Amino acid sequence: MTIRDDIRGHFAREEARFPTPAGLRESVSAEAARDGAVERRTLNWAAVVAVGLAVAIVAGLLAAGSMRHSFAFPVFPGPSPKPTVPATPGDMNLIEIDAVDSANAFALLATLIQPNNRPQFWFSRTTDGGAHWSKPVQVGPHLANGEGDSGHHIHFVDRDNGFIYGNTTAFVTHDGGRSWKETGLHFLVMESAAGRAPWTWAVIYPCAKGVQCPEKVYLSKDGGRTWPQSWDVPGGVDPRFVTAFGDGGLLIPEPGVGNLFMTTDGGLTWRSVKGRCSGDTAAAYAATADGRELWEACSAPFPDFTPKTLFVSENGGATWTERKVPAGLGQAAYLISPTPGTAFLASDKGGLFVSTDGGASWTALPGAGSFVWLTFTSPRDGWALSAERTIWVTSDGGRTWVGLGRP
Amino acid sequence: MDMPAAIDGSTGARDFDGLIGPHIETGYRLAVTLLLDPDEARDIVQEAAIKAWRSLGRLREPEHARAWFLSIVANQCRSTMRRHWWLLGRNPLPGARTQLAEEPLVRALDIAAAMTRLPPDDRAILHLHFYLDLPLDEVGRVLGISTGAARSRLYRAAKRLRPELTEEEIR
Repeated sequence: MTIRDDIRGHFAREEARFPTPAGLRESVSAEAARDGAVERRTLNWAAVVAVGLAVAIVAGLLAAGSMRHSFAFPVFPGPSPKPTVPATPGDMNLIEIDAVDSANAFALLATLIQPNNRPQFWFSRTTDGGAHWSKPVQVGPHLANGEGDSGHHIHFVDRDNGFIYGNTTAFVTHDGGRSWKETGLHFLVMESAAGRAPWTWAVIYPCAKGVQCPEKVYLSKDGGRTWPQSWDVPGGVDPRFVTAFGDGGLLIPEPGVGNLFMTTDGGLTWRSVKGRCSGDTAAAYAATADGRELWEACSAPFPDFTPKTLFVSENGGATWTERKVPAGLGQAAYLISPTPGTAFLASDKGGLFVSTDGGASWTALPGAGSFVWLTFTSPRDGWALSAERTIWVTSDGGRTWVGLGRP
Repeated sequence: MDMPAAIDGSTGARDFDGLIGPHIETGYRLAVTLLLDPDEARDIVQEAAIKAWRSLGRLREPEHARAWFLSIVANQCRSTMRRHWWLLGRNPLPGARTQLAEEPLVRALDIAAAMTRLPPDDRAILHLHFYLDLPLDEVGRVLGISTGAARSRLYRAAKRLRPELTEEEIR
């Protein structure tokens, strides 16, 4: 048997195990036609005939019942009546953590439900700096068909109010994670949540699938109970990577040239800062502690997301100074500036680096894990998550890190 | 934006169905191979189809429609795989269960395990060339690399499955 036979046999078995869904071509084509027709109408490109044709196709398929899921905002079933409760948090996958001070941290966990590894999300918290973790609480129902296993995230604005969200689902708690309910936001996709009390920011895609509209930033000052203010987000920015800072600051980077969309006054005014990336960068990593000193790392062109160049501005983006990027970083990078003058640059490879001179020099911090996320809850206290999904803490401003393991 | 007469807005749906429709299931299989996740693959191929519909006017060589659409699928998969969830929290698909006799079974499980360990693009190149029978120049178009690079990557990927292979055995 040749290697070709082996490989063909493998993919044939995979196809038998996970067959192509019936009617895939028809449903995908119809939805593409509908979505494309809507865009053409918006841009005033196409003749009325094209829209009519697309609508006719969609209407026909709707009548055939093949696209029922595509047109409305998602409707979620109630919580599972008999969730499968894992024995301990250790039986679960640790997805993300967040923390609001040195004692209180929160974990998003997941179990995988068969068939097809469909995730169920769970929440656990610690109130003693990670020494003990609470019994997991189920968050939301089992995911509906079509949700897939898109990225899910956790963010807390204070000890009581937090979010677990991803793609078309978002849940909020106002009692420290004991109970969860759907947010009051009306959205198709929740892209990100950020900020610490009283500033709670959420970026969402507000329109129905196939309808073109700007993404929106929403602001809440009551822990996510109400969202009285919102603003359109410029096209091109990546709403998944927002940085909240200071008293009412928010920063959203744009891949490509690395422009930064930001406010420093709780949304009263917004401005776009011209970035210094080369124009084809796959990812722009941005950070700031005060909205005046800006850090921006630019990656290579797609599909390489490794930071390659670094720029620092000390005047809100009016001028930039190029700095060197530490060598050996990986593709899952994370840049954070907890206080002016200081930044940490981490990645899934290459360890953790700190600069305390505005990026002029970087120092590798031995003993730290390969962090893919970190936050500081005070100038001294910080939490981090490694690529291996273990939790780390620091109490000396990031100089030394202690691994806590997992919840 | 100028659009070729053959695929302008008035005939978009018909041309999409004619040019891209036959390759949607192939795109789905490629996405499953890259992502190892049938549910996510369904979403990916839908997103890729929407992008293809919007960009149909830029398809200058209809004879390359398959490579063009599969390249959109591959890029969409790469973008998805960069997300936090993929980097942190994924578990592999459950292991294959087969009804094969013992020796072929061991061989099949070896291949399945080795395939899971391969980088996604290496799995994709094996899938495209050995399973879908795409010639190497078309494989290169799909993955955005030269024919020569496709050839060397194919050899490298196959060697990872069977380290004792010679280049002749892979041809």
